[in-house]
Amino acid sequence: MTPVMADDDFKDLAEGLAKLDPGAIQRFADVFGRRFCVYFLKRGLRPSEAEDLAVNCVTDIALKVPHYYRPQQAGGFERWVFVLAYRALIGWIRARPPMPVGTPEEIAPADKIVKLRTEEDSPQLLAVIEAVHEALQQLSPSEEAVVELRDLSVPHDYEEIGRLLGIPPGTARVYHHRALKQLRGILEGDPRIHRRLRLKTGCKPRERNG
Amino acid sequence: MVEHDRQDRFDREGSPGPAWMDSALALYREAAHFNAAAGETVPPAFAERLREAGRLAWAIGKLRRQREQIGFVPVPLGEYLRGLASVAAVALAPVLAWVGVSSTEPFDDEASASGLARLGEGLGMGFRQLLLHLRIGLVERAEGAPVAVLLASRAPGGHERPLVEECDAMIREVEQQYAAADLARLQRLEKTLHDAYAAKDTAAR
Repeated sequence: MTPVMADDDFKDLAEGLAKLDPGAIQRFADVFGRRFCVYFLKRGLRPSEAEDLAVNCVTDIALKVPHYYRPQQAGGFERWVFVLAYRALIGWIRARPPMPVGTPEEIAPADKIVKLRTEEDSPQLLAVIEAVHEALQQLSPSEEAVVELRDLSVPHDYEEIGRLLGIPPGTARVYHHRALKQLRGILEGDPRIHRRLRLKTGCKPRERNG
Repeated sequence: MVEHDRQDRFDREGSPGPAWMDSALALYREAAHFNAAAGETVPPAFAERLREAGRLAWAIGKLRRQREQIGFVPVPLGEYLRGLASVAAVALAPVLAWVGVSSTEPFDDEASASGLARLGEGLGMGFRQLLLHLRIGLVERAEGAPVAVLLASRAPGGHERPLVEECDAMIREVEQQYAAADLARLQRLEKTLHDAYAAKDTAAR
């Protein structure tokens, strides 16, 4: 199961990067460089591509910290770094030559990434992630577990979810539908989601009570 | 294939959420995957590349700090960069290699524009200032004298405007004397560099 993202624990690292501390920069390169590469590999880049892009991201993102990262901003350092790496991945996929016909499985994950929202800027993407994170925390533990297994990891069917959680498949389905309905209500009322709803569908968020 | 089978089955069963919510959850899922990629081991050669990337970031960061302190100096780009590197005590060659710019002056070929825009972004140097340094290099070749000397000769008592404006105005006067082919080349360089900066800006949003 993919863990729901933990709260940020890289405050000291971000502060060190902002001060151009060599030790902090090396720690960033070591910790996040690996993550970049592994993530890019999982998203269908070839090993050489994943390594090259990861190396680029280490330099580019470390340089952005003193000028763009704000410690008080929502989401924390880890998610801020992710958004920049995600955008770098999209840029890389778009810029690379077309893959030869006959390699759909290899490029499938990368193609799916490009189909995700890519038009928003980094703060907007970060705001969406943060809104979803907070909305998930409002679900019951059972509902959150089902959403994690169904929507936040390799998708499991209800039979598998039921087996993993020790509940009947029908109950897993009910939990899932109930959780998504609740998530929808929360997110529709969230002004951070408002902008993209307006852009995409012309919807307006519901008024929040209180 | 197991993952694809699962995805197919998931797709057949459908999702009860609207498309925009699927999309928001997909973005969150990407962030969670990134988070889950922590702690995996990598080959030693790649680990060394990461350390090198870190050292490069540190060097560029020091150059940027130095540039912010020094500000504009009316010298060609190569001279300016060498000066920054010397004062900041960092090696310039890896930085130029990072942006794919030849270490050979005058850095004014159009093919270098993308690299120069990346360098400008790294150093926090805007399009206008970077272009001004390139134009200074061209003027010095045309006039056979340093621009700093040319500027001083025009205003022995000191300048009324900020140095960067004074320099820009003087260079514009000199450029009016350029042959049509040289002027066209300069305009192409300006446009290419401008486009490269715009592309960097879009990617950075």
